[in-house]
Amino acid sequence: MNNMTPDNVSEEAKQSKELAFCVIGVGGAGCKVVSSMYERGLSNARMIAIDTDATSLQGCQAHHRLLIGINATRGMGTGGDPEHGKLSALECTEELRELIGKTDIVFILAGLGRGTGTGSSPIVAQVAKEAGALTLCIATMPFYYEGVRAKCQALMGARALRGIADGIICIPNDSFRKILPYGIKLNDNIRTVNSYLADGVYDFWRILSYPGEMSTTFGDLCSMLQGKHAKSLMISIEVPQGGMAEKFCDDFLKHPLTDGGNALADAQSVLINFISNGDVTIDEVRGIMDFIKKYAKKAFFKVGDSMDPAMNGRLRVAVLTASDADAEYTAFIGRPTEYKDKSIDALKIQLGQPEKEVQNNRPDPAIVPPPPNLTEEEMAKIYQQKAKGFEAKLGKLVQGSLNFEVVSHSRFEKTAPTVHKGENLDIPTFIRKSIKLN
Amino acid sequence: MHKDTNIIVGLEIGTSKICAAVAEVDSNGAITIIGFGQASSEGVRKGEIVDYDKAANVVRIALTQAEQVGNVEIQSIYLGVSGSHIRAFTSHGFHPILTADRQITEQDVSEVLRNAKTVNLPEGNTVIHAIRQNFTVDGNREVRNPVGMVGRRLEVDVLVVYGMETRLQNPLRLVRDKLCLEVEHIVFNGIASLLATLDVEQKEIGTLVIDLGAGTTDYAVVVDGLIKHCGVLAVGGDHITNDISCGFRIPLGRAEDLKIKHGSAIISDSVKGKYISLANEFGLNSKSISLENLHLIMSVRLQEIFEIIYNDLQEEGILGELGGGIVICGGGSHIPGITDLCERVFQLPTKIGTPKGFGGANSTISKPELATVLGLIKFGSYQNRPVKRMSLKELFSRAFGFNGLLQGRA
Repeated sequence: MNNMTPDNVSEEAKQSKELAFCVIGVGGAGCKVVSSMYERGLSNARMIAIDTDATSLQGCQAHHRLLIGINATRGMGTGGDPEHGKLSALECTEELRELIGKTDIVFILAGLGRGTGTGSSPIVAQVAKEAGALTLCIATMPFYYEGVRAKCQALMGARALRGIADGIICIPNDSFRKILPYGIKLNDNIRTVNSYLADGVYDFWRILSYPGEMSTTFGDLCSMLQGKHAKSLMISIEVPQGGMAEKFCDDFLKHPLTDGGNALADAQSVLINFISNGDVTIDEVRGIMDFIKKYAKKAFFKVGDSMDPAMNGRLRVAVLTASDADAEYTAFIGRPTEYKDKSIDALKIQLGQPEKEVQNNRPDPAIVPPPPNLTEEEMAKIYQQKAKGFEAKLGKLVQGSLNFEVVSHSRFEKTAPTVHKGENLDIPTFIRKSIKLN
Repeated sequence: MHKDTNIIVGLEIGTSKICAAVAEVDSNGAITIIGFGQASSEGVRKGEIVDYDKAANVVRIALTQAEQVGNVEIQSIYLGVSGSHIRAFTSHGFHPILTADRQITEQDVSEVLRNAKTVNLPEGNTVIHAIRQNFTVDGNREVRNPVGMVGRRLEVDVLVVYGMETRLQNPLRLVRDKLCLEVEHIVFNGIASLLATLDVEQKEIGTLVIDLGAGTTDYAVVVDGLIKHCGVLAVGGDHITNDISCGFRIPLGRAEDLKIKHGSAIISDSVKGKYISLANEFGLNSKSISLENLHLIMSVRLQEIFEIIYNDLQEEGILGELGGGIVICGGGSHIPGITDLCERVFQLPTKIGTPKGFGGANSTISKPELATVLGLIKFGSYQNRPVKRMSLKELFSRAFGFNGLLQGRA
């Protein structure tokens, strides 16, 4: 039942029962989620908070706190510029590597759209990958009112993360509008979103830490997220024992994020994980699955279960959906391209030409000519030759003048306008007085 | 063969045409036109030269033609000037009579005139005409000649017509440098037209002359034989053509044709719903144009011109003095219905003015569009000065000597 991608097989095989988790919150939003998770305490997970803003980092609770970008931002934050976030993270790659150490799975939590979360999290993900960990990013996309720039930056950050991390879950902040009551305070709003994300990570941690008979592995998680600019939905519904299926169906439909089940309609893959202490019956599972399948007709399904003794007769159903957001992505920042070389050194080089490919909104050419059958040296030679010839030609170019008589456009072009009491009398009277010609 | 003093040449560099007229003045002041030259203008816009070389060529053609017809060698000319920069205002001067007997002498008159002419013009401007109005002696207005009268205080108004020196120099330079001719005097076109078209009675009872040219509309008011006010509006027949061209999206040449053949200043009921078709270069009917719209475009433009003049005269407070009504001359006077429109705006009787009081080939010169150039000759006939070469400065300063233009002649 385990759908493991070939890359992950060796990693999975090494994996012992007790996994080492690391939850890294990057940027303001990420750190807040980490704070709220730290309060719950996950037994085998280390919490790391990374930010460029010293003040907000100080108010954050975590096992380790790392202020990045002391040179780039002087601890004042990035001011919403992902380039600064990137630079800041690149300053501290060594410290990051040390912090992550020997970890099996890294969750990166970030709010995309502004500087640190967007710019630093790809670097953090890259460091984690290079440290040999599996990396899953849970990122929030900005509220619509944060503007188009934030949206573009978020999508760019998401793209960078997608190219580096094993999986990325993007949750639009706007979707939370539905679960929040009208007139909620801004603080409560953010707190709710954060705790929702914390819930999600907590569920992932449980799913991976307490595998049951049909366990969901990290590979499953990643495979359902791969290959798309996923827009995701994370819902966890907990129902007490007895009549679980009916209760779940009710709660599911009532849940604001499911939009009466319609939110599942465009889902391309759905992961359903049952977390219980092991006494969930097959009938109940079937009932719940049938119910969900009604709504998600096109989706690829993955069902798993986890054994958590602490559930004590209750059942928690974690539903994760991923739908393609390619259209939205293309509309904002053009065709997706990936960093070809994802090593830290390459990223450093790419900083020299920031986001060049991003500005290229043109679609790929319909016909791609075959590469010339030449060695690179020969090609370089040819390019140089051409460049020389072009320059030489440019030097000789002289713009000549055409010996035509210039015909003026208007009868009064060469004259000073006749202005009488602020009115330019050269303009036809019927136009100035807006007299309609019938 | 001819006597220089008797020959007067007028040259008008107009926007649509450049014309020169040669006249002979006998000892009684009777004017006979003996030569005339005309060429369609180039390089002139709104009454001012914009292309020096082109304009010079055309002026030469016109003058040569006039020389040939008149069989004279032109040495000096009276030059008509116009342009939006030309303005007029009334300057006031007074002089206390301090002698014991309070009798006003010639010296007092010249003193008060000198005071009135001491005007503060905007920078770069120069006087074209300084025209004396009636004297006031101790509050008694309408005194024509105060010499010999008794009074304590002598006052006089002077109408100062002035323009920008640099812009006035353009046509002057053209004539003097390019054509090597003397300029006797520069004359504002509006005043020249007035002189040509009005008879004595009209000058006395008060008349407004509107010269609807191609580039400018010049106007002047004469009351009691004295020029009270004049002005230039740099809007003319070209603007009407341009309006038509804009309105129907046709080339300027077509628009000009339409204006001349089908134009009207008023919209009569008979044209409503009527269309004329324009033929394209292959002779096919390509576009039909509503006559009503054509007349509407022309009507609103002309009405606007008249209204601007009306408002100007109203500000000057001389509308009530126009007992002789309005005389329209210039090329624009050929537009059908122009007098009706003018009457409607001013509520004053209006007629077309043709040059009067000229002998010679009457049929050729008796056209309203030739009023300016013939007016220049009339102006010249009032000046009895021997020809001598003067500097530009002298020429301008001589403008101050131009007093009581119509005095004794009217």
